[in-house]
Amino acid sequence: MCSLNLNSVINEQIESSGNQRASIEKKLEGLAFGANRDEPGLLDMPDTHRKRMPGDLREVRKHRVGYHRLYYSGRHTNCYYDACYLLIHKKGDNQAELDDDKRFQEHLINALADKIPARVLEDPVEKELKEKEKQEEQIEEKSWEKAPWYKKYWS
Amino acid sequence: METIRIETADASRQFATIQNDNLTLENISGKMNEIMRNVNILKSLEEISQHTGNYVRLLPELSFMPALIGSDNQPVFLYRIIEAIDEYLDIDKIQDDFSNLSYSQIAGSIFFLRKVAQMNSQKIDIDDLEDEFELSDPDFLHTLEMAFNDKEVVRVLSQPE
Repeated sequence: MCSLNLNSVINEQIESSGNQRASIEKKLEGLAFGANRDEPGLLDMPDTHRKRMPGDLREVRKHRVGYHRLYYSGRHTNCYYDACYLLIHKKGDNQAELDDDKRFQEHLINALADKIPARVLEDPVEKELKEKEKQEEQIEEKSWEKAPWYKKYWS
Repeated sequence: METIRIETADASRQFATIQNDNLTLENISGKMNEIMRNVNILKSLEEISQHTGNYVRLLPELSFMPALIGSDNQPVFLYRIIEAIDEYLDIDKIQDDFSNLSYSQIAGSIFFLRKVAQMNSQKIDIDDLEDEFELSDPDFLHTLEMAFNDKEVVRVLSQPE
């Protein structure tokens, strides 16, 4: 069975999570214990690799734990995972989190309601021709630099 | 070929994908099949909703993503209800009733239901949207970087021997 290493950040987060502590710990254990060196577990699911992670956090993966989000690295082949951060969502007792949640839900509704302006699609052949013309114009512009008068006065 | 104007971003996105690929009939047919598969799944979900009291709604203005409508007329997405079930669920008790199933299997089934509840006609990945939202906050990003760089293990959650 694999284990879950906690750094001081996540350890403090869990310890200060009040009456949710036992439930969070139990859920975290459940995620790690289901895996072993030979068999991947819930923390190895393809969905845990998040494509939007910036370069230096590329190794960081994310898994949902009830309302909360666990950030971690590692894989079952090592038989341990390194948990680094837990985004704890407490329903009803933290106004900032409620506001964040509300903002995300509004963002989601807007995305689903398709409130993105319509785009004009161009004919790919026409687009390619335009790009070629643009490139040629740029080359032409540069050819001024080769002209003897340009070299004489500006170089 | 004329420039084509597509009225909705949804259709625009789907047709853009077709245009970006090589314009062969096989490609177009493949994409259309994919769209139709998605439509058929949503149609099935709508039928299930109708057979179960229509509490769960699949509304066009929400890209048919399953939702309940609250007393304030605001949608509460079904996937959030599944998250709430997961939050309060005692998997050990379920395992008592289904001793042949592992913790991972039961938890995995909840994740599966949550993903099904996130289906929508635009094929928007809700978790991806959530990542984009979270990671756009520089304070959160900084906190996450700091946490990731803290490599010292202070406690290990492991199975007692």
